Amino acid sequence: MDKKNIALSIKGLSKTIGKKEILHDINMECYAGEVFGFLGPNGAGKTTTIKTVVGLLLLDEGEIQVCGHDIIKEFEDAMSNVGGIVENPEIYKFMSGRDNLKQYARMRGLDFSEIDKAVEMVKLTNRIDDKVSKYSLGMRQRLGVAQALMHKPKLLILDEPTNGLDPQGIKELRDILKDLAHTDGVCVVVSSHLMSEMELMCDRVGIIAKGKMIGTYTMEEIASLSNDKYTEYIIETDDAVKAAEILDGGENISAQEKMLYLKLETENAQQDIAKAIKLLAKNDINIYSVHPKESKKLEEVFIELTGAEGDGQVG
Amino acid sequence: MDRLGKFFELVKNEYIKIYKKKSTRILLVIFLAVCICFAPMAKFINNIGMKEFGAAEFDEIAYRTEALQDRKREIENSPDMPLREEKLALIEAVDVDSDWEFSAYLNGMYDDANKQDIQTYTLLCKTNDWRGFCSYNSKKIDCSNRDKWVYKYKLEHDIGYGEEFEEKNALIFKIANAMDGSTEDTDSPEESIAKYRYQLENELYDETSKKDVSILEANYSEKFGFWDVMIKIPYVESFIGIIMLMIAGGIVASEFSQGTIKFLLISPAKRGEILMAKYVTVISMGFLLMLLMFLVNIPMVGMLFGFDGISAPYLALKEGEVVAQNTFIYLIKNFMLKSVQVLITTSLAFMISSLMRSTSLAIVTGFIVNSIGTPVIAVMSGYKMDWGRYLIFANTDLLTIYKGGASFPQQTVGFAIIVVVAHLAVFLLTAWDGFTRRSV
Repeated sequence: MDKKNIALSIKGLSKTIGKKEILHDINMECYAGEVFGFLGPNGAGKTTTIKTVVGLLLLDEGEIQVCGHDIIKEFEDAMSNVGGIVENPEIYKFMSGRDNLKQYARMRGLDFSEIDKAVEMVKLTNRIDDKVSKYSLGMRQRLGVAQALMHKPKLLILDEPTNGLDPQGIKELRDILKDLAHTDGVCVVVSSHLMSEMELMCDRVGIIAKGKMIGTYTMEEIASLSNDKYTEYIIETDDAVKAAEILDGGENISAQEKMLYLKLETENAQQDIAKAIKLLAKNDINIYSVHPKESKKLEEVFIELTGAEGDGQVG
Repeated sequence: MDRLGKFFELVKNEYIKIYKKKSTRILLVIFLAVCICFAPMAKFINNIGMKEFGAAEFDEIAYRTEALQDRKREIENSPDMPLREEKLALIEAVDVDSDWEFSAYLNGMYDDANKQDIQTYTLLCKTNDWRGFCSYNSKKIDCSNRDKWVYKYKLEHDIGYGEEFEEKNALIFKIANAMDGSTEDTDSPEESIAKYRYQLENELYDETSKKDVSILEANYSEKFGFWDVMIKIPYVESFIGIIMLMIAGGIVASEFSQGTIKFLLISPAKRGEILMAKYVTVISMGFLLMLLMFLVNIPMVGMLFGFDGISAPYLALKEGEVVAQNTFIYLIKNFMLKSVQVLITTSLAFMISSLMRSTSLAIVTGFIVNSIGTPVIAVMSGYKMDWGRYLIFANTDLLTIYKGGASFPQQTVGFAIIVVVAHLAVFLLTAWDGFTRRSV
């Protein structure tokens, strides 16, 4: 990944609507060739940020550059490098998919031959001449993507693109976006309130909560946040209290009815659990099952991170 | 791509969006139907009018022959009548085919006709001397100034009687009537006389200045000519106003209701350009519909009513001088002046569409303003509320103001234009401000 090739740079973006401060000092950079997840609970300010970047909202304070072009001073240069879908795909339902794309091509001064290429990319070729009102939501979403990438933007911004899509649709979209970023070197920015979705799609995520930027992380960094020093094991047994006495692990062991919770150092966890099982077996404790509690999920990291700033803003 | 080319692409997009909508297609079909039906409807009305109220064929010669015979019998049966022989001689000399000879006979039969009169008329009729008739009549002491002028003019310009001079005599007769103060329309007697003289001198017998587009009345009992029908085309034109209003009301607001405004604005085109493209689309569509209306109607009217008289000019008075201009150009000019009302209503709807983002609100407001404007001004004018002159409604009918028919005293065209332009500017700037600065 070429870190120097900045497709989107946001510096000190603040936005106040009425008396309410929606965004406070947002800073982030997104690079060419990456899928950047823009993550935050509902109402955190994701859509506001995106709308400001694509020029739907006025910039009150701060500076936004797209491929080095200031979106205020060099509006046209900046916008010609941006493709985007905000909230829902914006499509004229009374026209066919092709007519919609033609509208877009005329606005951007594109050759109509670009239409077929974009349509093929999102796999809509055999339905492109149908009226959009007959499309499924997934097809509309894909048409929206085709429209947004027809002029080969260096920055593609999609606001909650997976909303309302079925798992198959999500997978297709994910593949398209990954391909665009990794093969064609587009900077794809995707917003979402679901970490699990981002996990599969993104190279980096930026987390926002309550209008403030919490930080940007690579997926590796997020993963290490979720890998704790300790791994927890759960042993199902007939007498958890007795088992706890036998193992005598102090505060690292707790018993609840028939469940025994063991907190082991991750480094030696495997040896330690083997020892524990042997010991229990020797003492005639019946063991029905042993399994490690799954490592902390990204979702939990996310909730932890946003919760600290967000104070229950979620929802 | 250059700026202008890009702008045209935006306009093209708007046209396609309008055309692809089912509702506009239906409107267009209705408009075309109205256009096509216009001429046949006029023909239908004209046929009924001619059948119901048209004058029956009148046999002038038979009437004259009968009148002469009746009078002859009457004189023969009244032996005590003064100048009996002379009168009979006059009746004998009169040729029923000649207009002036029949007039001479009528003059001779009056009670105040003396012997010399009757004998002179008899002689003139025998020698077919219409000039003598004119000069003799004009020298009579009881001859009115009006008639004196008629005889003098005919003699000077050698305009006799009979079919070949029919049009000229009709014009001379109209001038004479105007001298007495009676005119056929809203023109003053002086204006009428100037126009008739111009026609007479230029041998221009067919003209359209009496067919005022603002007066949608016609004599239904007579056969319509080309322009008689064409001047009624504002009936069709009012549909264009409705279509423009509906398009203007939806062109911005519908983008918001469809959510497509975001598609439109996430683009290198500036918001101002997008809004301007929309306005240009609405206005140019009005012109295109007008063009379509003429393209359909000129051949239709021509086919049903004939193209005779299509070259008749429109006569107008400019500083006392009569100026002939092409009637078609005059008609278009009048349409433009009449379109000011449509332009204002459309712009108002456009502003509301852009500002309030509601199609129905924009269209309804446009319709209300359109329909209450004239009555409001009429009431204000009636109650002498002079500040009404500053209202837009009092200033949109430039044609009427130009002709001096304004609702308020001393209202000038210049003032009206200032009011209209000021309103347009306010409407468009408000629309622009609302569209370019609002968050989406």
